[in-house]
Amino acid sequence: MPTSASTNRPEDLIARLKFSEGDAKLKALREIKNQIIGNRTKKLSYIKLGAVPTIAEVLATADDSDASLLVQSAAAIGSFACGVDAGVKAVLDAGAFPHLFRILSNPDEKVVDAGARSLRMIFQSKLAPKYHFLEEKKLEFLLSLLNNENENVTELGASIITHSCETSDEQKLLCDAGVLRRLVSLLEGSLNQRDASLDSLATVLKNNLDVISKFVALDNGRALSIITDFTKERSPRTRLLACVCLIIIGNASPCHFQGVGIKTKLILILVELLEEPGQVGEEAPFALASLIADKEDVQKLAFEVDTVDKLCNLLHKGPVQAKRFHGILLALAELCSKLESCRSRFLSLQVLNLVIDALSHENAEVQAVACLCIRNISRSVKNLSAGRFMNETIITPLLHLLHDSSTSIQVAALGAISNIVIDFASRKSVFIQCGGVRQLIQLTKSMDSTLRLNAVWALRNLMFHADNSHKEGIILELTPSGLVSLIYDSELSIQEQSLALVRNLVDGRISSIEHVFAEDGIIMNAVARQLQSCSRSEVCIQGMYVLSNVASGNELHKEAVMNQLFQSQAGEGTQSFVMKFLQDSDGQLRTAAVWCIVNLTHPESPGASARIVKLRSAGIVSQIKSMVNDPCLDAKFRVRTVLEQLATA
Amino acid sequence: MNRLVMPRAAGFSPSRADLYFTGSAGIYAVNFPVSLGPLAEGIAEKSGCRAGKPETVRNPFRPPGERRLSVEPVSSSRFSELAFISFVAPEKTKRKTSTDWVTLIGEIRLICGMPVRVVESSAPSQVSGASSGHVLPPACTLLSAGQAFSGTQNVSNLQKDEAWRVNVRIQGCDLDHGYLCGTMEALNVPLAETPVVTFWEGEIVDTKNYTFFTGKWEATPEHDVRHWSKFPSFSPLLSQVEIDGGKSLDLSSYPYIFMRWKEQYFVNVGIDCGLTIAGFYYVCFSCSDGSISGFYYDPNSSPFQKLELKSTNEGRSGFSFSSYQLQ
Repeated sequence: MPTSASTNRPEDLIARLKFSEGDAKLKALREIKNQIIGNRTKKLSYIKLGAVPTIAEVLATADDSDASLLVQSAAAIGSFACGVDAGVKAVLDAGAFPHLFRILSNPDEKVVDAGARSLRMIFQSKLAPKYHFLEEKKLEFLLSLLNNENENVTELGASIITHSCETSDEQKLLCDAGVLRRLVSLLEGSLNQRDASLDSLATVLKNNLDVISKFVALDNGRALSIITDFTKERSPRTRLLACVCLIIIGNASPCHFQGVGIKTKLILILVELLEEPGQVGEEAPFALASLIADKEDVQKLAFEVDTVDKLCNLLHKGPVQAKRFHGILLALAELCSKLESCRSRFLSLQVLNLVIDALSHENAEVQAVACLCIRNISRSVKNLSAGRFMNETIITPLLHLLHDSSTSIQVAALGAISNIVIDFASRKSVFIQCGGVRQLIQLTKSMDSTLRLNAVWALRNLMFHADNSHKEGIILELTPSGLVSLIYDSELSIQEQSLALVRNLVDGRISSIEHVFAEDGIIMNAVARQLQSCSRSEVCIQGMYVLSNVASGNELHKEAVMNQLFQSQAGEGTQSFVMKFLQDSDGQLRTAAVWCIVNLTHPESPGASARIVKLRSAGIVSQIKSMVNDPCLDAKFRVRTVLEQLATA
Repeated sequence: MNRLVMPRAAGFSPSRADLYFTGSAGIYAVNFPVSLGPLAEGIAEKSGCRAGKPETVRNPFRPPGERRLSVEPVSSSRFSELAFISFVAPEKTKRKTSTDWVTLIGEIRLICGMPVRVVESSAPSQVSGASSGHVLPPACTLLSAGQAFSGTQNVSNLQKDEAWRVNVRIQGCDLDHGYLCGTMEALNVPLAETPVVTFWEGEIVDTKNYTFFTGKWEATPEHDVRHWSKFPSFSPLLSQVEIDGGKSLDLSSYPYIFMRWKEQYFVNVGIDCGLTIAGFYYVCFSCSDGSISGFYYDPNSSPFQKLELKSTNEGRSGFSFSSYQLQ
């Protein structure tokens, strides 16, 4: 079809590509490639026009000796896949993948380069198919890539590893095949090889202590020294990758990470990298978070070099792109996870409002990490006491997230709420007025046990030292039978939190004890039933404190507790669970049981003597006497209190 | 297995790291082959004790093998015996150093003497934290979050005889960090119309996070000793505290908990209410009956104002406990 030779409209180019031969074909191909490089919009429009299958066809059918055609088609395909997920998908759908591998064995070096580069672009995307190392032929092929003389090909080998190595079996397999040594030698190659190798090493070493030990032992630790030196390199990307590797090694194997010097250096390097544009700046805070996570000593070091300030300043500079925001908030959350000094510093820098705003961010991951941040900051009892978090600006968006469709966001919001409701002054009404109680109770009925657990946890903390009117309101909404089904929940952790909730319910004014006797005492019965059958100490401890708290009430309350303690004994000869707990190996459980006895034998109550007689005949008094030198100090002193009370009775 | 991290010799200065352990006098077999990092030949080892004369044993470190060392720990406190073995890297290292540290992994075994309990080594500049075997003070239910105490603070001086009623409530308790906090409410304060509530933070003297020496708030060690000595339960500890602030004491089974409480701010009145919170309290809590006594220290106020509190059960016949759990 006659066309003007100067037309370069996409449709025309594609047509020319399809139907012409020789030079014209090559020219059209080259033109397309030049148009799409670095141009996302053009890539997408060409994809829509079906360019990719056409180009893939060219690649598939071109002769092995037709170097230019192979190079241009491979390059064009690679460009489509570069940074554009739709492009990767189109390339894979068009079946170009195996052909790109095919041309890696072409005698012409330029063809090999083009194929390798394009494959690397594809493997940078999650959409690339997984490379199955566990298949022998595939492993052999991979090793041949790594051992190839061509730089692009070795980088391809490394990027395949980075993409596809996931399980510890795969890590071990690669390690056993000598991949580590080869990657280490690539560290001393070109800049690109070095970076590709660092990325790869991080993947192979991650969380695998065996592989890490072998790596560290290579050449007496030379590899480790090389990577440590890379933390001072000029290239920001290299510095970041080197830090990531060291952090992975240090997290799995702390003995390679001791000494204040190396940790402080890593913190300073990463903080500096936070300011870098592009991917490096986006990934740096995640590396920082991983460095400090769960390690109080490293968090302290980070605090001492003003990391909190530096992170907060980045937030103050203006709106931040989503991924970077996510990373910075995550790093702040980790920093504030254990140290009050970090939390105080954070609060003094006036960024809490930005974090609260992030609760309503459009990106779900930002929302979740903002919840995490608030949860960790609100571990500050000092600020909880000052009512710093008990206001509508925080509570409203958190409650809103409880309606989110994603369970993980709901759980994250519940985490923050659990801490905030501890509030010590009578400011809990703010939370209740916002409708928080209803939502929490709703979630206690969820099918998802994590949601149930966190909702009950929040209610337990809300119940702590709550006003009588608030307690009434919560129980009215939850209902005794609702509470009972939580006590009988299939998850032990939920049983524990529910019993702790009851414990808090019956503390405070004596009148609140009545709640457990509502509806024929179903709550009280449920508590006792759980104590009889449960074997997990954390659950039993909370249950015993319920009984103990009730036993600190009036005569009727004490008698009710006595009934529960000795109900199962009637004619069966089995001992009361209290006896079992007094002999338990867990000191806290023994202490809780003794407290119950302390309260039952409290001298000011008229019925004390009768109860003592009963306790004596059940063998409990002699058990208590035998605990006079209990190794747990708390239990020991409570035992002595009982004995003093018995003496005065 | 014991791990010892040794800072690499920089330039021409020797580096040294100590491996601490508790144990008694005896002969130990020390087997520390080099596990990684290039290190020049020959590490001199000295066994030592805090106050004694070091005994130097020069042995080449390669090939690795067992060396016998005679170690005489010195008892620096009645509660623990501490010894150390010193590893010294020689002055000159020929190879270019690129890491800051070298890890040695090996073993210390008693050959004859009393059984030894070996603890994790501490690298010379390690950040403070749990390492050298210090134990926390006992957890006590009467000193936990939610617990209330009431009593009096005696503010008598030469002019008048006065006592305020005081209620204290614990709000937070973090034994790992030796921290607690709460509120203090003073009633019938002449200058104030309503009860005055303050928020305070406490330091628990656990010899890990805090010692008996305050080191701030204008309290010198002499002030410290003078105030702590007013508590009868302190006298068994006095001699050790005078030596080293009580750093090597093991208070984990001691039936009293010593603290400093510092009020941080007024909760319900302004700072111009005529009252001061510039000082702090030396506090002693009795684990057996939950009673608290304290002495207020403020260089600008009457000395030794005494705080005496008892655990209250707020109208119940017995004790009731709530609890919260932070996520």
